[in-house]
Amino acid sequence: MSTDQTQHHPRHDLDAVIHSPVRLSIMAALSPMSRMEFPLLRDTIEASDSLLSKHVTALEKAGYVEVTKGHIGKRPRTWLALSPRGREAYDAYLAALRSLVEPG
Amino acid sequence: MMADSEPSTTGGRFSPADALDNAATVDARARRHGRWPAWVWLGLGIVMPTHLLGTQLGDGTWVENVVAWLIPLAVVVGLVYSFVQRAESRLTRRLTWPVTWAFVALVVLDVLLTWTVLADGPTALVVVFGLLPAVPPFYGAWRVLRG
Repeated sequence: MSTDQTQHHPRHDLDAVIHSPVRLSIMAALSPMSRMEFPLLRDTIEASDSLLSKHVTALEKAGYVEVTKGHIGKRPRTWLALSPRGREAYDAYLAALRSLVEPG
Repeated sequence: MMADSEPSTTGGRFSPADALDNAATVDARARRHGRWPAWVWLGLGIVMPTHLLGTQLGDGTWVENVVAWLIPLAVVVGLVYSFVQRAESRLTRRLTWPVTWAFVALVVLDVLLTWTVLADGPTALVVVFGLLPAVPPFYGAWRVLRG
């Protein structure tokens, strides 16, 4: 395989930040939503609090997820949303996956 | 291909096809959580015309008294239901204001027409204008439930 072919392989377009099943699930769940509460996201992707928290922190650091904390009455609430950059990265990631599944 | 350092039911190893399938499954599951405004709109589309037609055509009967309570009841139920929801979809955020404004405009139009032009007008027109406010919420509900 030539260097050029290697460089153009679709796997190079896979974003390392999203490249984990839990992070991909987080991005997939937040993609159609404008915002989602932390416990609902946890239940939707079937993850534990700590696992979700760890991956959300990584996505937040990458600028892909925005975390908003607030209170309704005395109850604390954490809302999660994809940032425009995260949305772009997720779309590009899905496109790269599709290129791998349907080459050419 | 993809692996996580911690176990999870969505963890393990994924092929690209599996990853796409998983993304589609999670996406669909999330969308279901964002469909709640459709039920509020469906309720609104049923309650408001019932209220309008009941108050306009049920003059002096028990029907008028019953439908007069529908709006405050629907507002309380709608607010409580909205309060407990934990997700908002992009589609419903986009639709909320157009649906709300169109709904309010048609309710105001109906009230103004029944006070003035249709005060002693034909019942068919009263019914038509009484049913019109249901169109925007039904459209919104249809868009959300279809998506």
